[in-house]
Amino acid sequence: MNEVEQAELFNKELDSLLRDGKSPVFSSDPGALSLAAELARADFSADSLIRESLRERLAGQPGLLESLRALFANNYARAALAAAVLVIALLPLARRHEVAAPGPAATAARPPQAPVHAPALARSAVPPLPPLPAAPAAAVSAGAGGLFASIPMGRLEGVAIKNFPITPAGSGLPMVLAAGREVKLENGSGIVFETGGAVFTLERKVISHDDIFERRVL
Amino acid sequence: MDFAELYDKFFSKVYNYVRYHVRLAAEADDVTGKVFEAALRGYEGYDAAKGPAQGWLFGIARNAVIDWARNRGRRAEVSLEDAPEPGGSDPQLESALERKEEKALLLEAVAGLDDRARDIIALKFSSGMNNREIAAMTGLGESNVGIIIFRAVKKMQADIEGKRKL
Repeated sequence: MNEVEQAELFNKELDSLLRDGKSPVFSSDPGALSLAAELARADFSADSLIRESLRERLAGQPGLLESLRALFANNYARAALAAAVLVIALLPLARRHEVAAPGPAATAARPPQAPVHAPALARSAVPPLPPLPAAPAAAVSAGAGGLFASIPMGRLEGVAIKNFPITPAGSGLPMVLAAGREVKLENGSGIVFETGGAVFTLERKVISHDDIFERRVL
Repeated sequence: MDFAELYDKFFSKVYNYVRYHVRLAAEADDVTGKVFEAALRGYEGYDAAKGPAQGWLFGIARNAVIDWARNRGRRAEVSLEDAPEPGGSDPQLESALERKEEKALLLEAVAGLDDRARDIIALKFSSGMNNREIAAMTGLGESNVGIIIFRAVKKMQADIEGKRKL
């Protein structure tokens, strides 16, 4: 009997041993089959120190589907998720509306924004919205109760500024606007202020990039 | 079968498979833990129609053992746990020690095999897979698997008999 035939016979007897748990009465190789039976009986798992702890740890780690299922079993979480989905779905629509109709009309159509309180956001469990694109200063009036309000133009116009709010170092006396007259300048206009100590000009003119940036060639 | 059932059914088999490769119990625990963690992660994707759970699970175990062998480097494996324990006069203790020594002999004999034969012996005697399934998993021919098993058992038999005579 060559090795291949011996191996075939041995494997037949081994499969029978593993299937039925009994060694055949007459074996071609009793010693080898006896060792195979020892290997089949050997159980080292009693040496394991993690069997129970690993089971508990794995049982505490639900899979993705189980996590989602558990989440949806909670009504509060379901409502919060639905609200979040609705807000996310409507956000592009609101943005489009804002871009399509800018200016005062859009301001009028826009509902006043209520102040946002951080604790309220935390309680709602709805992810906070990304900030809206900045509206023009005129679009948000102080009376609308927005987060930011522009100073009413009436307070800046029509009333002559008599007391300049900066005092020169050391003198202790306010700078006084003695006179202000508009003058024509190249590419614009300006106002000449004469104070108690100096005369200076505030210019208003159209400038180009080259007036404020230095152009360099790389 | 839910994952807890799978765990209960296959923990010992997977541990034994790992232990044939990783002789230190603590390291075998570590590798077995990784096997079941990976199995849990992939359990939702497991399709019973594609094959029995044991083939899928032992595929994961094989990869974990390969990863362990790759990362093991060249550090020496020395453990007090593996050192022979002093004999006692208690017959029960002596019997337990004998069983432990027998197991240690088996592990030592398996460790004396080359990597391929060790893997096939570990699969054959731990997983419950037949030679055809082992051949499919390892990419070998079925008759080749049979011959490797036969030669490996004969080699282990010679090693163990040699040690028992000492």
